[in-house]
Amino acid sequence: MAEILFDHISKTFRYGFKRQTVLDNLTLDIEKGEVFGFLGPNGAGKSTSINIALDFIRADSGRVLIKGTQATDSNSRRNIGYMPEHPHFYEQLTPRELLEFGGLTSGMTRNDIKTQAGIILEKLELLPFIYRPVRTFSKGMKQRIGLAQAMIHDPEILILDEPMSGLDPLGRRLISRLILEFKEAGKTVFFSTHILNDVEMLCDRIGVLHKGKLLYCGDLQGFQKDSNTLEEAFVKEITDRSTR
Amino acid sequence: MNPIWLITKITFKEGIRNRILFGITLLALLLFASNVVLTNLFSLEVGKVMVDLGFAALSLAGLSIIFFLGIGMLSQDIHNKTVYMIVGRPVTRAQYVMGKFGGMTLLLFVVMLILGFLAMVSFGIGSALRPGATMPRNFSWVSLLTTIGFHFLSLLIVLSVSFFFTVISSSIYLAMLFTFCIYFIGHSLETIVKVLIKGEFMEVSPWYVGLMKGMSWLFPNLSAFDLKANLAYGLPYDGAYLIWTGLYGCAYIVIMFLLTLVIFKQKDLC
Ligand SMILES: Nc1ncnc2c1ncn2[C@@H]1O[C@H](COP(=O)(O)OP(=O)(O)OP(=O)(O)O)[C@@H](O)[C@H]1O
Ligand SMILES: [Mg+2]
Repeated sequence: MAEILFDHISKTFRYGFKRQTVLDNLTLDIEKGEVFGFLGPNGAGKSTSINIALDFIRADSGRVLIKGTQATDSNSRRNIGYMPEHPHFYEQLTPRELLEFGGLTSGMTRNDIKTQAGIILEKLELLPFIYRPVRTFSKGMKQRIGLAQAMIHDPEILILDEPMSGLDPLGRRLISRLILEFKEAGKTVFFSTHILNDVEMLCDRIGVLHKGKLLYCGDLQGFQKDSNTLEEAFVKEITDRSTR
Repeated sequence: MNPIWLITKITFKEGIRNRILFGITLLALLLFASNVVLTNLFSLEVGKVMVDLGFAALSLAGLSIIFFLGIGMLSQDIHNKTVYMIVGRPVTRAQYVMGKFGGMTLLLFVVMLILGFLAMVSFGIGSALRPGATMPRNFSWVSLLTTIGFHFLSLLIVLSVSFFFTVISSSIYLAMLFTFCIYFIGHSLETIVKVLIKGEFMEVSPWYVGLMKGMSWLFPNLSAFDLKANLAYGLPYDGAYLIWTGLYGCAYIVIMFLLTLVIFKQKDLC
């Protein structure tokens, strides 16, 4: 059984009288234990797909299954740690309070949260800031809090929407390391990104989305074919499609 | 632990630490201070002046909390996508809305409690400074608490209306505008009906009066919850009236809440 299954998903947004098909019959499955990179140009529909998997957006047709549970069932999110594209928090709360909320809603005990939060905040180098309200944090620090609350309950699946955006090189390396650690523990990571370097370093498989359609799904070598770099292959593939 | 309670808690914390709340409280304190001074200027009906000013301050504080904190926080949640932090966890949308409503209710309750207490203190100081001033006729703590309770219920109605409009409208300003309109209509419609019925110089068809009466209950009839006059003039409270009005208020809140929920459940959060 796939960990995450997008099953013939279509979604159309309406702007007044105009309609735009953002996802067109997307079918995709992510297997247990793999790191899956979700690529595609701006506006391709990556965030929309992720939002459907978390039930923030309802698909017009098709369904998403998380470990066999429909995404529309809130229980499906017990196994998921999610970080949004632009994490926003309740600004007056401290990281400690945010993690406590995350842990408790995911069914952890206060004691577990305490130990788990200590470990994660230490890894993300946030320990000096835990008593400050989030409103005083920089963008990169908020991004790290976003990751911390995604990982607090030690989920089996991580879904990250552009986890590397807004991070300095050290922060990026830190997150790469966390993703690899996660994979070593036999867990699944599904993330969207524009940073192809990270994709080469981290991903077992990639999916390339363009205008709501899946252009490619498989391993890196298959996509790269005779191009020298992933970037070259990506640019070539997308421009080919756009001019055709 | 129940997610509703957890959401209530973080909503309350987020609200109580907000600077806006600080400003609102300060404003109410200023009003109480002026209460002390103003009651000294009136020679008659000191009790009525105190009651009116005290409740004006409570109203102002309650409404500011609903408009700036309630609508502000809920629409920020939706438009900045702060909701993702909450509904990205194993939490249903219904639990989210209930938790938010609970948090705002708790916030209003605590602020009313504190301001209510301060209002008492300012009455106390006011009457102590003025020898001969007395409490309103027939004053009792029960009648005061009843009046405050119904005032609180009317605030909760406005809160439920504000939730509804925040969820259906795409802009915080529209939500504020709609809520304000309902608040305004809810306060004035009954007066209009009274004028229509008692106006001796007007010929109005009973059908029209009936329609207006119906409207005044369809829009929340907020003036029905206003028991200040009873308190100020020492008029008796009618038990049946209180029970029916209370039930009407609760029913109104439940219906608004269910409507909000139905819409929010189908909404694309993006
Ligand atoms: N709330 C919305 N209402 C209407 N259209 C939207 C909404 N959100 C996204 N879209 C449209 O859906 C399309 C896909 O957007 P999406 O955010 O999924 O892209 P993306 O692949 O994540 O892009 P990026 O790399 O820039 O994050 C875009 O064309 C966008 O205009
Ligand atoms: Mg995106």
